[in-house]
Amino acid sequence: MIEYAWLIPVLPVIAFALIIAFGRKLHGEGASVAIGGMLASLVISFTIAAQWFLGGASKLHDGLYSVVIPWMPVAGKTIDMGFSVDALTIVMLIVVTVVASMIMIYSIGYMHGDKRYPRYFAYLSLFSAAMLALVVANNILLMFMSWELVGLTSYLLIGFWFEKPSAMRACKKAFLVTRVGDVGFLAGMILLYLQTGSMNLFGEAGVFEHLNEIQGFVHVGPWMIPLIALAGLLLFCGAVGKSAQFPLHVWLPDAMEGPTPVSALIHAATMVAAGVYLIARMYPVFLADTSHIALNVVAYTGAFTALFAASIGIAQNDIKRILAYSTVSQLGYMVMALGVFGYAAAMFHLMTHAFFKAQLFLGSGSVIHGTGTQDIREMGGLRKKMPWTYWTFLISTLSLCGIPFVTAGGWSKEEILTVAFFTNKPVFIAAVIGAFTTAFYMFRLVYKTFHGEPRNHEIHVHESPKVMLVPMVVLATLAVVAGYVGTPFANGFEHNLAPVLGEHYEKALKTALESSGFHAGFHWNIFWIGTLAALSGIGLATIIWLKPILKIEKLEPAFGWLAKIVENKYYIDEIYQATIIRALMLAAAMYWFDKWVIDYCIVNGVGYLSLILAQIWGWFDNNIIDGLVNLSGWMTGFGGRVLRQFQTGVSQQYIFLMVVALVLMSIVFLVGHLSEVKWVIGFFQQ
Amino acid sequence: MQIGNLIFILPALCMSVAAIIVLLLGVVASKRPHKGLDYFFPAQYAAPVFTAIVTGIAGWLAWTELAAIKAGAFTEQAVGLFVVNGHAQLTVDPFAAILSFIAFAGTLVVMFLSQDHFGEDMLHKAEYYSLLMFASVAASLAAAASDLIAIYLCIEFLSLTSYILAAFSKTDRRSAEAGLKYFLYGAACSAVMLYGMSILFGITGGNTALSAIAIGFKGELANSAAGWVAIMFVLVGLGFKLALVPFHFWAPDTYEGAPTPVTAFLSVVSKAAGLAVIVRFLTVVANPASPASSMWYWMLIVLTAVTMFYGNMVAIWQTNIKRMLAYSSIAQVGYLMIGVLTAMSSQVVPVDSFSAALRNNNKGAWDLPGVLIYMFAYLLMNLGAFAVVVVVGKRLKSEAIDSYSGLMKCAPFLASALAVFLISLAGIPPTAGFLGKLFIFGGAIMTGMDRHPELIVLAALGIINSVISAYYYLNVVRVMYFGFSGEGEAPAEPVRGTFAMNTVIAVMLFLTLAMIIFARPVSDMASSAVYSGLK
Repeated sequence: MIEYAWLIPVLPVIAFALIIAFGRKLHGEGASVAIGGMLASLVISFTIAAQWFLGGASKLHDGLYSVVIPWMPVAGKTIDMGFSVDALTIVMLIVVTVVASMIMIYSIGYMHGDKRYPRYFAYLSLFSAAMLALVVANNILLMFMSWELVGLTSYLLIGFWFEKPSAMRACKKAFLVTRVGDVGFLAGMILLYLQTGSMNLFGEAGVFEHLNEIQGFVHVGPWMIPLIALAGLLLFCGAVGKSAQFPLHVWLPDAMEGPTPVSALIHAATMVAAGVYLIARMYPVFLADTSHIALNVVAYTGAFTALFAASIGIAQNDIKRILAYSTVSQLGYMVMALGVFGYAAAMFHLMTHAFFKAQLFLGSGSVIHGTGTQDIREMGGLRKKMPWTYWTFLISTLSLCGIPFVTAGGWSKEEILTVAFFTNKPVFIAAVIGAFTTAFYMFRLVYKTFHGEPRNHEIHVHESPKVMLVPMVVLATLAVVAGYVGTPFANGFEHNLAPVLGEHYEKALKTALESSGFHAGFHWNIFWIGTLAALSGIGLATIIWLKPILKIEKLEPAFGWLAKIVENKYYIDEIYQATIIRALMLAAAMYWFDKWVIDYCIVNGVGYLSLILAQIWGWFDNNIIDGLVNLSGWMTGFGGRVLRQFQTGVSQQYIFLMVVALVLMSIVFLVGHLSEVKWVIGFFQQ
Repeated sequence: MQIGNLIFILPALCMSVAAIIVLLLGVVASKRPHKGLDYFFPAQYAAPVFTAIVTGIAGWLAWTELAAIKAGAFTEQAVGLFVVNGHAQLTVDPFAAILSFIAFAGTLVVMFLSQDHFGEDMLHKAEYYSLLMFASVAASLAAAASDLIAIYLCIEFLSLTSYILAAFSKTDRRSAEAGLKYFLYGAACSAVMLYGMSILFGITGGNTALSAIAIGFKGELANSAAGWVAIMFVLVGLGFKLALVPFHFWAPDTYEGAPTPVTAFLSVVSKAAGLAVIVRFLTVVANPASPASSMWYWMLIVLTAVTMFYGNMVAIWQTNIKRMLAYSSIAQVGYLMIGVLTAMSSQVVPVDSFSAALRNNNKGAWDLPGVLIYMFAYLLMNLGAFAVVVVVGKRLKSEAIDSYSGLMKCAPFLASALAVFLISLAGIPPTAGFLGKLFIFGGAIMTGMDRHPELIVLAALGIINSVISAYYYLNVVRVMYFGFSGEGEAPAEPVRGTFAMNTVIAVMLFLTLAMIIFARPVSDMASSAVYSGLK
């Protein structure tokens, strides 16, 4: 079955083509075709996984099955196409196909009655295909092409409701911001190609075999950066854009303007995971850099993002925005884990996160579907009205918080913490604080949405249809059981994933880990630290929002004037926010920082600068360019008139013009060669 | 000469016989239309069947030659026909074989277009189809012609049949006008070309074979005014066939007036023949060691640049899709000429013959293979676009771009096919047109980096022109998808092609999209076709 792995991305492409061609004429208005294609890919992926891990195909192919087809000759070399299958690929294939097919099924209910229903499924198929192609590609160029296609289709999906100006802005923002990172990826790709002479990843002539040959240095100011570290950093730029790491994370919260299932697909399992996958796939490049400059940058960027985004999550009131910041924070975890040599841990967390975060998004979609609002201040008490949504949402939240032993997220968080503990203490501390904050804001979300009394009685809540509930239940189940493949007691996940790096780099990774005193297994101290962080986060959320020990009345005198203004009980949460503002000061500061420094100063500053430039340009445009355009327009018009003069339709004139051209050309030639002129003159003088 | 050698022109021979058979069918059928023989073997069905068989033979021939090259068993001498004093009059090397395959395949597609365009009750259908077949024979032989007489006969044969074809809709005043103008202009150019050939014949000591002329045509002789005049006059005739500016005046009027399938024929098959001849002619007489050839080279560079700009600048303003495609085909020839000029520039030493000229090129260069690839891509996308125009034009009774408004709604298949063909013509990936342009421009840039900066400039101009052309090509796509003004007045009736037309369009659509996947085998084939002399 492995030799048919190329079918996995091709099937959704066929589905895309069919839906675009036939649209509503297809069964289920195209949805059946999209889901059929995706399920077929899912079956192939699972078959391959079974053969690989259980059937011994891994040993048969020595850990890597790769097919290379020469595609196009370029300057004496050949650019190849091809696909490869190894443990890393298979993990990604399963994650993407499972989540994508669940989301497609869910979309039947969620998108029901949309006027561009078939087109939605077409885009969804194309997006999944691009993501799957990125995963199976064994060639950097092919990876880059799929990477760009992922970006393009996400643009189409985020802006799917393009009638909304905010959606239009969001998709543009997502496209442009990720493009900033893509430039880095492109530069890194070119650097690797120039240094190793190959676009292929594997094999004798592949990039990974020639990484040791990259020896040069780049001087940046007073520093000397090894070329290989530069390659790693450039590739990381691509990941920063796609995986929404600081400071390019700004697109992701805005991207929530898309339909919620799209958010689930793009922002949980696929597009944002692409950046993490890229680092993992190119991990030998990072390991080959013995100075570990690139890896340190990766680690600290990830740790900062994890903490920074989590703190913003506290102060949000839009259910999808909270989840968006939570995604940014969790991606920071994965990137951080990669930076501290937690190769398997990061991929493990990617997998578990994909399941529970997709479920959370679908759950939030169900809530939005049922209530018609995204503001958690308007919700409350949904627990009884939407039991299925509530329980699945709660399970995934517990998984996200990392409740040990029972949830998948617990195992993967545990593993990341263990690696970070030994290799990088500051990062470990950031991770622990992040775990606490995550638990805190997630339970704030749960309490405000599902517990307490309904705050807005005008909203008539109803549970979502079964077609939406089934995928949620499936994903919630996975959010629990998916963790058992990688428990620290019998870590099948890591055992299978490490050989992907190849013998040389697997050894390098092991050496780096062992030199820091790391030893695999279960560590009680780390377990307790992680668990306590999560539980205290949940506890704090409980005493504030579920059983308010911090009573609003006690704090009212200080803010009485505020309370008078905001008597309306729908806005009671505003007061909560104001009263505990001291506790949330940091969060607010972070949000302020994000909003003003990043968004306003940098983005708007650049915007303002470009505005000034635009004005200068505008003047230039009005006076010079328009002049030129008008001139050229006039000239074309004039030219058209002149040419029309020639194109009279009178044959005699045509032939006359031909003779004129002939004579003119002859004169040009004779003048161009004066000796010939002499010859002609001599000819006449005779 | 060996009789066995005739197998190399077997497709042309078969086609001639078939054309005569079709002509006879017409004579018999004219007595009892729609009955008897005409009922069982009507010309409009017999002709495509014959052409399909001949196309198969031509493809087989090209394939065999390529296989022989691969096996190392190919020699240039073996494919020379009618050899006099060691100089062949026809050289059916793989370059010629592939171009003649393109000519036959193009003719086959044009026949399908004609069936749809003229319908069942066409007058003089046997004559029409046999003329098309004769024209394809001429194009096929022109691709192989390596002798002045052969070149002149082939070009003239092709022109004469084309004149009649252009004027074939006798009841349509514009068609008659198109044919007459084409004829008058062609006759003048032909006369100039023949005069140039006679001078060339005279100054090289009575030689007509190109390989013999190449031996005599060097040094003082090549620099003499007589030599210049001779070549310039010949180029006038070839420029006329290719519709190079400033010998293009006939093209817009003829393309617009002629029946659409004939326009398609003229813009593809006829140009393939002209291109083959100009490649052979230029690579023989061009001799950059002498200042004269470098002047030629520069003159052609200027003409190529002007041709591209002229074609695109005028095409932008067209409101009739047929006229737009006609002008854009002028620009497309400019792109093809970039490849020819790249090949010409690579000759740094005096050369003796066509293949010897190529021997001096680096193996793996992209110039002439690029021309072959682009020619094939051009066949697919241009004929594809014309096929859609024929189908839609007949159903809507209009060729105005405005009338395509909202075509996506009433003819989704045709509209998306046309969109792909136009995108391919604009050279946007992942289409065949992109691959062709990649090879041509890439080849020009690669050769240009090696002491030919003018080629880089030419490639840059080509890219700029591709961008300009994207404007008007994509404008049609925009009109089809979004309507011309707001909603657009979409035709109420769904527009559907016949089964045959849809199949033809689907096949070309598939090939246009699939070619890039087979970039490697295609480029290998094209390279070995051109560099046969190396083995």
